[in-house]
Amino acid sequence: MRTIGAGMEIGAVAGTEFHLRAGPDDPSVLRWQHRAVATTVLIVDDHHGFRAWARSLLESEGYAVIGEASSGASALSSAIALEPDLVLLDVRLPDSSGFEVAERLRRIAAPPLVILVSSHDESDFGRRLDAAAAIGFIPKPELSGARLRHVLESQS
Amino acid sequence: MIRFAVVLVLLIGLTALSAYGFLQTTPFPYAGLNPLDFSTIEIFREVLVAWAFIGAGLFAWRRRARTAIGALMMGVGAAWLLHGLEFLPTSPLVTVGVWLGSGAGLMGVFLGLLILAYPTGSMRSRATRTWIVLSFAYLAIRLGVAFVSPSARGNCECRGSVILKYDQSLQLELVNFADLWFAGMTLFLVAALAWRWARSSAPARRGAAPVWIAGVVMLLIAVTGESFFTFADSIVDWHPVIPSLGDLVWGQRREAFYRDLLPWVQSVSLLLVPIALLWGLLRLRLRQSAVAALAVDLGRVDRPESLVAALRRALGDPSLGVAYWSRPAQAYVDQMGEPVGLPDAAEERSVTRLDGDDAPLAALIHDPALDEQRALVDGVAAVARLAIENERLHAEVRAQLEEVRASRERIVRAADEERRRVERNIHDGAQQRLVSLSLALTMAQAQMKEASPQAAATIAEAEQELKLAIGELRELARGIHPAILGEAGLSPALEALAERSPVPVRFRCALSHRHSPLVEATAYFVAAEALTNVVKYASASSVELAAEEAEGWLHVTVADDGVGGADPSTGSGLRGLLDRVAAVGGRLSIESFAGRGTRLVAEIPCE
Repeated sequence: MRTIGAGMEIGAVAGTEFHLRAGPDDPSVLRWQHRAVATTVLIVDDHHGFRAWARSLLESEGYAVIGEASSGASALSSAIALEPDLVLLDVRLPDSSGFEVAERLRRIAAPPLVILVSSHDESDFGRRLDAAAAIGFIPKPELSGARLRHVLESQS
Repeated sequence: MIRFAVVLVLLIGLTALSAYGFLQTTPFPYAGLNPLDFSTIEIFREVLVAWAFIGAGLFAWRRRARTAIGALMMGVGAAWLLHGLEFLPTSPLVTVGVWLGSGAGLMGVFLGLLILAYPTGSMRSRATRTWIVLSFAYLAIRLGVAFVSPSARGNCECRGSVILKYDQSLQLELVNFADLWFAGMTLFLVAALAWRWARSSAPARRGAAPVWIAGVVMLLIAVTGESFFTFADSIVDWHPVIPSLGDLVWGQRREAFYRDLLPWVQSVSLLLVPIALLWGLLRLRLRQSAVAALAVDLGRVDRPESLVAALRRALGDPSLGVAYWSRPAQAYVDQMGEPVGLPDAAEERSVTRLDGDDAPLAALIHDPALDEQRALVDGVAAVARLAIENERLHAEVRAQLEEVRASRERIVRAADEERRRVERNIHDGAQQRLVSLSLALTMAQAQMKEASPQAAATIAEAEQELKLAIGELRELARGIHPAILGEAGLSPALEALAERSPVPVRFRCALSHRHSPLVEATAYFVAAEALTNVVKYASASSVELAAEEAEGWLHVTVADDGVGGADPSTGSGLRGLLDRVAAVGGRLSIESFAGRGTRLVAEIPCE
């Protein structure tokens, strides 16, 4: 595992081909160029334990976790740099709310799909979930590859 | 008393001398001006005007011995009499009469001083000092006039007048210059009064206005009146069209106006000042009778506002305020027990302190104009002392109650903060660990599925148990303090509350902005507790939850169609809500009739 910039961790997954090169605009940003054979995922959560277990779980189920971020700000910079297919976004972040980050992610050049996660359940958020810039919500204890696929399929 | 008698005798003597002078007038032309011939009734008029001032002055002198107002009034009256000295047959006093008695003379000087010194009698203002300097210059010019004037009868040998050199053209020029000088002084006076008026409070204006207005009118009409009329006349004559109009209006009556009517207009206007002064003094006396009325009023005082209103009526100062001394706080408080500072010197408010036996009692904060009526203020304070002491004790109790309420609010605030902290700890600590454990079990189950289906099933059961535990922990954290309340605000928090309720909720929320954490937490917990009660006890088919803001108050309503009969005195839940709302200065009303549902309304101050 390598770390590129604060809060941005990039890993490799078996079966995925990676090339490392400088970014087109900013040579200090190293980008993983990959020929994806799996859905690429960025995990955003301020709890390291959750990120680690979620990464293992999703990778064991064939997802390519290409980065992790622990705050709203690093989530945005990582999403811009890594261009993931999917962002798994915690609702409660130390510097902003997941709803705000989702809204800003929608406006970047290559907007990823966003799935909100939380240790609270849906009823805690009322209609805010309906209005959020996300394709779905998964309570953290129920996170699994199957649940992720279900949300993605219901979206498509 | 002896001094009073001496002054009286001197004034009577001067009056007799002046009247004797007036009796000597004959209808001869005087220095090219109108002939002067005082009839008996005109002499009576002159003496009447003088004694109106002298009388008012004596009255004011006796009543307000500390101020110079009485002396100045008597001075105006005495100076008025100097005019008569001009006509004495043989005496150097003729020159004194010409010097100080003709034109505006000493009377004008004293009158200006009187107006400027009213009502305080203080001669220390900058305007008064300027007036005195201007007056010395004016009297010096008039002295010049006296030294070049003949006697009133036009002969300079036989009447003892001190004449340096009789020069009619020089005399006329000096007279005109003196009149012009005094007209300038009058304008200065008007400007000084206008400035003072603009800076005065309403009670001060009420007190001084009659004398100020009458004094200025008197100066304009009576003292410099002839000059102004002549000036108006010259305008009329100068304009090419107006002369015919002037002739039409005045015609032959112009001479008659100067000769017959003007002195009467002047005299009547002169009487305005002593009348205004007497009215002011009488008003004071009437005000003192208000002290007696206050004693009756105090019997009806039932609220703090009534006491203040009664004091305001008695002292005629609608701006009056009362600060009560709180012994526990060792500070002044208002009638509601809130700390209040006494005005400092820069605020142009006066403070009359009332002291008890061993500590201050209260302070009356009033208009500085009342400082001139010290006896009245002291009288009012003495009469109202018991009521003020009573009110002070009330204010002290209110201050203590306010402290208790503030203390209760601090406790609630601290408890809310602690709840938030505990919820955060649960969320960041145990909840996250259990979530991670849950994910690990999900993985383990997948890994064991093929190798050991039995172990996988056991893990699946453990995972289900774990999810239940996570759910219960989530409920616990939510009950302690809902995260959504702090993160998103009252409206989404109440909405989530409504959505979780097993009884259908009609939710209505009209809040445009966030409120303080204390207000939001209070409103939320009231709604949450009330909804819990509905679910537990009301057997309701639906419930209405509404939150709206109006005029600085947040209204939270929870109304159900259940069995009713809720009684705050029997359960700790509603009692707790009453306490919680009261702690932030709010109100809680509960209407609950058997069979007709329960309606709970919390009103929480939110400004």
